[in-house]
Amino acid sequence: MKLAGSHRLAHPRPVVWDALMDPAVLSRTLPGCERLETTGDGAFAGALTVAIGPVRGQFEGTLEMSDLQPPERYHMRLAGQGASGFLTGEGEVRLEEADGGAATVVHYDLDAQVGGRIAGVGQRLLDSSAKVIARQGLEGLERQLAARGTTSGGSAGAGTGDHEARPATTSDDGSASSSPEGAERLGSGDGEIHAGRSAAESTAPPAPAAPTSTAFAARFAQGLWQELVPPSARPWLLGAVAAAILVVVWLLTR
Amino acid sequence: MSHIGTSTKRSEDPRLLTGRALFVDDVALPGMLHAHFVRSPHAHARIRAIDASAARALPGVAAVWTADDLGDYWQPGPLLVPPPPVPGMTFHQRCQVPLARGKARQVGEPLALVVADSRYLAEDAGERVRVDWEPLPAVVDLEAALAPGAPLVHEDLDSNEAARVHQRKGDYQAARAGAAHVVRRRFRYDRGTAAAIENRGVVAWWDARADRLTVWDTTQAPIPVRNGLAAMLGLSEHQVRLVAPFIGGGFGPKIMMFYPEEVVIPWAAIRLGRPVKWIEDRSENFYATTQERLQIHDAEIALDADGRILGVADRFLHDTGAYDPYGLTVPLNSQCTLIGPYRVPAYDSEFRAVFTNKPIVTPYRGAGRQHGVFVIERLLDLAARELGIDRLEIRRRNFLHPDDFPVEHEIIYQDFTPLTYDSGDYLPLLEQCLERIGWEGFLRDEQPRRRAAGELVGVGCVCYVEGTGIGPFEGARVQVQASGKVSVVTGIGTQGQGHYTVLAQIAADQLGVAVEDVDVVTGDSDQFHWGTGTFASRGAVVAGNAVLAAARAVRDKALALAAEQMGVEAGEVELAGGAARVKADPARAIPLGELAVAANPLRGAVAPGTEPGLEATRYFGPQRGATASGAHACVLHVDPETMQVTVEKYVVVHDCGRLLNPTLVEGQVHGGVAQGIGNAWLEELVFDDAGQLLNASFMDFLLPTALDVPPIEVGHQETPSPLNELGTKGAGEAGAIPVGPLFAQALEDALAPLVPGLEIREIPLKPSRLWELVEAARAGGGAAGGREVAA
Repeated sequence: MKLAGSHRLAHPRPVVWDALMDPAVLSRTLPGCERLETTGDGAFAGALTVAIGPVRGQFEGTLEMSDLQPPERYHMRLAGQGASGFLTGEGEVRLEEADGGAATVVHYDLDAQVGGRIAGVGQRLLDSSAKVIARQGLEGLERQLAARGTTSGGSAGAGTGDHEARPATTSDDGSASSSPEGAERLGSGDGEIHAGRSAAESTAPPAPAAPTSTAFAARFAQGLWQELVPPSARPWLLGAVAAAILVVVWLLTR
Repeated sequence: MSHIGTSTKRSEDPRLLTGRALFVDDVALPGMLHAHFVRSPHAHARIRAIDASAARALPGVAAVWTADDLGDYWQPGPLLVPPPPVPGMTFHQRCQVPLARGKARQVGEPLALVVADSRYLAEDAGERVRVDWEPLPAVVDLEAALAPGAPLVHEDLDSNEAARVHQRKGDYQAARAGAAHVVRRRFRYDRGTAAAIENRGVVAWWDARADRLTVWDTTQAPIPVRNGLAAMLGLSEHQVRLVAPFIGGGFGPKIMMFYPEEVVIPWAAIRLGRPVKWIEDRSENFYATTQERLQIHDAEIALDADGRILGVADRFLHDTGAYDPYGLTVPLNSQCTLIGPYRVPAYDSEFRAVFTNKPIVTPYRGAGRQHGVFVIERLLDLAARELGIDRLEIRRRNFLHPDDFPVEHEIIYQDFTPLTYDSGDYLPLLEQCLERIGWEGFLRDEQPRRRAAGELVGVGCVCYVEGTGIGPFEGARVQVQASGKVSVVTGIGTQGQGHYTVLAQIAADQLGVAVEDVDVVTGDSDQFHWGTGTFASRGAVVAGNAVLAAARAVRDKALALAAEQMGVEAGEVELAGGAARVKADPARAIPLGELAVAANPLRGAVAPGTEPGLEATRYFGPQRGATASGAHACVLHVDPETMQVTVEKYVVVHDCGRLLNPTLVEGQVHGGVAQGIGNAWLEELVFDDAGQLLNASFMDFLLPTALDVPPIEVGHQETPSPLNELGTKGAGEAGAIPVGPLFAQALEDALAPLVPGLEIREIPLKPSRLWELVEAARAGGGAAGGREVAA
C-alpha cells in the first residue's frame, strides 16, 4: 500500500524539522500514541493504539529516521506489531519551503504493509484511515508549533494547516493547550516522554497533549465525514438524519 | 410399503428446528477452561523467539504453551491420503504442525496456545505473547513460486513443487496431428472458502477416574480422528470417545483431520486435568480452516472437422497452500473429472502441485471437480464457436452412449482404482434440462424481444459427471429393541445432509416398521467404532448399503425366530406393521419387540452357531466410485451499466442413480447451487503479494443471500449404479460443480450484442472484473480479454 500526501504548515522549515526530530512533540502529535522514547540516534520505540474499522489494538514498535539531510529530507522506517497484526512502512519525508520561507510543505511517501487481522478485516478502511491518521498527525503538529509559537512569543501565528489541497479547516475543538483535558493528560505525566525530552524542551511551557481516544474517535468520524460526504450533500444528509430522528421520536411517543 | 424413494420428512428436523440439537459449542462442563490460539500475522517469517512470560503472569491464565513446550508430542500431522500409484509421479509430504516452530508458513498458523478461565482472558493473555519475527518474502503466485530462486516455503526442498503427476490415455500427439481444429486456452479458477455456518470447535475432557478422554469435535471423520488421537496420546482406542454431534455444515474442510487445534486441545485437557474448549471464530476461520481451488490450466482440445473430440491435453498448476496433508485428492479429481460425459479417445494431463504461503488446500464441495468441468466445458464452447456449430450440438456429438458403459479411462482416480464410469445416460439428461429451461423458446422469442428492448439476457447449459460414493468402507449395526423400536448406528458423521432420515428409511423397509420407529446415531465412536467419514458424496451410498445389509441380516434372524415360534416355515412369515406375521394369516403375528426379548433370553441357552439378540453388524465397501451426472441450465440478466448479474431461472437435472429420498436430493442440489453461485459470482479470497488475505470478513467476502439465489427447479433421472445393491450414487456435491462454466457460457450469450467475441476464462467473476473483461474485449477484438492471456 502506498501512503503518500503533503501538508502545509505555517512555520519555517527549521522549526518544522526540529519538531519532527523531537519525540516529545511526535508523541503528542501522533494520534493514539501512548509512549515514545529515544532508543538511539534517530531511533525511537513506542506504543500506538490504532483503530481501523472493527479492528482496534495496541501496536508496539519502532521508528527510525536515517539519511538525515536537515532541514530538507530524511528516510523514515516504522515497524509495529500487536495482537491484531503488524504494520511496517518505509519511505521518505521531504520538507519544502513555501511563502518565501515562512511556511513549509511536508511531503511524505511511504510504502506500507499491514498484516494479520488488520489487513484481513480492516482492508476496506485502511486507505482512508491511514490518510485520516496522517492528516490528524500533521494537524496536531501544526497545533503544537502554534502553541509553542504563541507561548514563546514567536512570530508564527495560530495558522491552520492545509492538507492535500483540501480547503483549510478551522482549528479543532478542545485541543488547545488551555483545555482541561489537555492539561490533565499532561499533568498525569508520562515518564517516557519526559525522559526523552531535551533540556530546552523541559523548561518550555506545556504543549498540547496527544488526542485522547474519544477525541481521536470524534476526529476520525469528522475525518471520514470530510472524506466521504461531498460538501453539497451534507445539508441533505443532516436533514435526512434529523427527519429520521423525528420520525422515530414520533413513533415512540405515539 | 417401501419408504425408499419417497420424500419422507427429515427426522432430525424437530430437534434442529427447536434448538434441542447438540452442537460442539453447546457442550459445557464443570471447571471447563477456554482456549485461544496466538497466530502468525505473517505469511512467511522466521520466529526468532517467543516470550510468553507476560501472558503466563496474567491472573486467570492456566497455561500458555508454544511448540517447544509440547516436547515429543510435537509432530507434523499424518499424511491423510497417500499419493496415487501413478508411475513416475513425485510427491513431497509436508504436513501441518501443531504449533509453528522455527518459522510460520501462512497467516493464521498457530504459534501458541493460551488456556484461561474464559475466552476473554485467554485472548487478552494472547495479546501479551511477544514474538520476535524476521519476515521473509512470501510465495503467493503459482508461476513465480516455481521460478528459479523463488523463496522456499519448505527450505529442505529444492523448489516449491509439492508434486507432479502425469497421466495419459491413448496417443494425444497422434490425435493432434490428425486434427482439423485445435483450440488452446489458459484458464484460471481462484480460491474461495466454504464458510460453513458453524465454524470448527473442539472440547476435550479427561476423566481421570474413568481413565478416559472424551472429545467433541466438528469433524466429518469421527472414527479416524479418534484412532489418530489415541495413537498420538499413547492411549488405547477404547480410552478415547470421539463425538461428532450435529454439525452446522461440513463441505469438506472438516474432513481435513488433525488440524493443530484438534491435536493440541485434547493434550492440554489431559495436562491440565480440566475440560478445555476451543471454538473457532469467524476471523480465524478465514485462515485456520482449509480452503480450495486456485488452479491455472493451459489446456487444448483437438477435434475433427465435424467437431468430434480426438483428444485433450492439459498442463496445470495446483495451489496446495503451505502444507499438503490431504495428498493429491483435489488435483487428481480435476484431472479425472475433466474428461466429462464425452468420448475422449486421447488424454494427456500433467499437473504440478505448488506450495505457497497461503492457507492449506483440501477438498471443499466439488474437490477439484469444478476445475475439470470448467476447462472441458469452456473448451467445447470455444471450439463450437470456432467451428461454427451450436454449443449444444457439439456436446450431443461427443456424448458417451448408454451402450459404452462401463467406460474405462485408463487413468487413476482419487480412490486409486482406474477411472471407470459405471453407468449413465447423458443425452436424455441434457434434453430434459433444455425442456425445463425452455431453451428453444427463450432463444426464439424471449431473447430477441428483450434484446430489442435493450436488455442483456443470456442462457447457458453445461454437463458434468462426478465420481461419488468411493470406498473404502462403512459399517452399521442394526438392532431391534425390546420396545420394538429399531436402532441404527454407524460411524460416519452428519453435517445436516439428512442421514438420520435416509438411513432410517432403508432400515424401516427391511424390518417393516415406521420410519419414526427407527433411531439413528452417527458420529459417536462409543456407539460404533469403524468407519472413514462423510466425504466425496458417499454417506448415503456407502453407509446406506451397510445399513441395508445389516437390516437384512436382522430381518432374516427375526423371520427365522418367528417361524420357529409360530411353527411355520421362515418363508411363510413376513415383517410388517412392526410385527412378524404369517403371510397367509396376518392375524397370527408376534410383535418385533417380543421377538427381540425372545432372542435375548435370561435363562436357557442360545443355540451354538447363533448370536443373541435381533442385532447384526455389516460392512459395505464399493469396488469403486459410482458415477453421477447432470446438466445445469440458467437464464441470466446483465445490467449493461453496472455489470450486475441477476439469475432469473435455474434448472438442474441430476442423475444420482436410484433416488432414496427426492426431497433430500433436491435439498443437496439447492445448497450446492447456492454455493456454486457464490463461487462463480461473489466469493473470492484476495491475497496481496505478501500473502496477506485482504477480505477476511463477511463485510468483504460476499456470500450469496436469498436475493442472489433464484428458485431452483430440479429434475431427476435414475440410472441405477450396478456397483451397489441400492443402485444409488452420491448427490452432495452435484449442485456446486458446474456453476462456473454455466455462468461463463450464459454471460457470453447475454453480452454477445455488446461484445460478440467475449471469452470468459476465469472464475470467480464479479461486476468489476466482468466490466474489465468487456472493456478489454471491446478494445482488443474479443479474445484478448482476461487477466491471463491465451498461451
